[in-house]
Amino acid sequence: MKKTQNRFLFRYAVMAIWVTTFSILGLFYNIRMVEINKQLQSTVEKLQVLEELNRELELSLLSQTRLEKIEEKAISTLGMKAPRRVMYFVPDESND
Amino acid sequence: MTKRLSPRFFIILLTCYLVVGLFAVRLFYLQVLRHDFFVQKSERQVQKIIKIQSHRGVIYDRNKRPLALSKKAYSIYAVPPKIEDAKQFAKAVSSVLKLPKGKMFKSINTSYPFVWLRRKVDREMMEAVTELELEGLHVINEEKRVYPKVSLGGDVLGFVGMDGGLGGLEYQYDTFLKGSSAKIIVEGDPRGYPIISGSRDVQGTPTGFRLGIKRFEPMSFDGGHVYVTLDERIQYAAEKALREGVERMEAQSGVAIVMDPHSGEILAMADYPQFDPNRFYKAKDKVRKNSAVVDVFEPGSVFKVFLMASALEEGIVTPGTVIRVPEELQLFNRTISEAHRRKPGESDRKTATDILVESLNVGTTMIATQLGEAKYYKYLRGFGFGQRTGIALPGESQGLLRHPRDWSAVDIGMMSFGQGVAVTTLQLATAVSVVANGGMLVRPRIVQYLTDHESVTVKATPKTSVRRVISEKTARQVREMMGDVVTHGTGTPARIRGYSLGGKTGTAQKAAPGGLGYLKNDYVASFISVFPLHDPQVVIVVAIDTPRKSIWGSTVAAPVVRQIAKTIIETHNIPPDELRLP
Repeated sequence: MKKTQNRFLFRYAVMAIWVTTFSILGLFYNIRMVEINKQLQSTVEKLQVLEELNRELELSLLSQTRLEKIEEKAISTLGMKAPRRVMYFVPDESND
Repeated sequence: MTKRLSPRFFIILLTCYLVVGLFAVRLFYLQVLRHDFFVQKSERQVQKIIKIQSHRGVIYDRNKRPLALSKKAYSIYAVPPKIEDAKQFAKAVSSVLKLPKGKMFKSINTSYPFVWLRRKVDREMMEAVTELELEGLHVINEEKRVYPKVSLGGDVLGFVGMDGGLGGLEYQYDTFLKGSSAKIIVEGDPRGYPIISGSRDVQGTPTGFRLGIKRFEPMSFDGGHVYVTLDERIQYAAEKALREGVERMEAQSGVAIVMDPHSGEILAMADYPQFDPNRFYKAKDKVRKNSAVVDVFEPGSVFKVFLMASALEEGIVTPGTVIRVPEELQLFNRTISEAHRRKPGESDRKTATDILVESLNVGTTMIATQLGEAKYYKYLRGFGFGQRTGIALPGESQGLLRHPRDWSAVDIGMMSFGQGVAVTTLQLATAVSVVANGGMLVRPRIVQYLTDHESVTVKATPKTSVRRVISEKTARQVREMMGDVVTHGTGTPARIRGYSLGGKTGTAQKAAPGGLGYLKNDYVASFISVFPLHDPQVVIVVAIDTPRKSIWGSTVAAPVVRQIAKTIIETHNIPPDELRLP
């Protein structure tokens, strides 16, 4: 009788240990999941800010490389001038 | 020998079974009988609806340089019923949003549940608003359209208002560019975090594609990209040359088109005065419209090219046919005369080429009369006049070309030198392309192809040859005649050292409003050209409206064409074809 009871109790104890272990593991992973989700959310936000900054820089670059601005810089800063007379050099193919 | 179980153990076991039984009954009730109810309830709790904000696509030039793109912006709105102290709210928010306090107070002092305060502000302003932490003050993400090249191609690109494209390509391709709205329903925990193993249900109609495991799958909701035929460098050169030309001549406005005559691709479409699409609201309606496709004008002498092409094709004349051309011609109740008086002793015997080179109204009238109304009309329709070209731009005009049954007896004469007919600059460029490409009418194109946001081509707009209008021989003869116009005719100001160029000048009086005759001092000066003459790669058309310093196509429009052609030499790397070695 005692032996049968002990066997039952042992089984319940094993089950209880399993349940407790899995509960703790579940709790642990749940906490971890929350942390990871928070990190993920924060990373996504940072990514969005960086993407926004990147787009701003891209727009600034496009604006700075407008042909109008390049021409203006070439004339005012570099002192470049449009060619007044273009000379063409045509290679003499018979001498090749 | 087995021992009997004690009654106490039996009672405990029975109690356990009873409890388990009760749980089983309750579970049966919850999971079977009330299944649907609780499934719905749990779905409501775990489902999180994420609204997908589709991004507006980019407009690129032919070399994949962005001309219009979007950046993130934030819109601020208020929920007036939640505002406790409207006065304080208005005071705090107006200073951050830089809006008048009184106006803001008026807008929030209402029972409406939603009021826009300011739309599409930048991040700094949004952060300043968020820091206020006021009840009833909210921010949502939106997009703002940006045109980094400022006014470059503004009339073609159009502009975007608060909720969509309002002009040009932005309007024409609005649905494609903005994509479609959709929402994703994801399963999440009560805190709102998505459950990794949870389901994801997408609701909406995808407009784009994504690269799946094996193939492209319809997925994206983002707007697609539009690749236009414009070349940024040629567009810039055309706009610059046109602006200088208009300002030099103190004209009202001007239009320039550069077109590839073989493919029908528009390389540049300039319209002056320009506007900045970033600040479209500051420009007047008449400036925001694309005059190259919307406005019509009487073309004047440039139209003689098409009469000559028709007459050559019909064998009425050859380039060398000699005709006695008087200085004046009485055509029913109208006297047709020349724009310039003849030199003393000048012969009245003119070849067909002379008639075009010297731009003789009387000569063209005589040829047109010989050609006849029906045939002339047939050719003009063939060249595309009096009908829309079908370009993908909004508001295109079809011009004015009346049927011969509505012509008066003098109309054939008038129309031979471009009066009594109205065309758009685009129609002129398309018609000149017929001469340049060897006789085929090609449909002008402003869009090369469309892609989804992953750059997968979803639609291409191939070259469309509409019909043959004239033979290759006739086209070549007309080009040679146009070459003579530039070498020793009215078009000499367009000449470029080392290069051959064909052209024709036009100077037309502007029609008075209501069709009541012509305005005495207002003209449209134009120049049509084929460049290079012997291997045409581009067609350039310039029309300048109401110039004051001079009125002639040769002095007003031809120099603009010359300036544009010089840029095309560089962009297309065109070698000189009229080289004179020392």
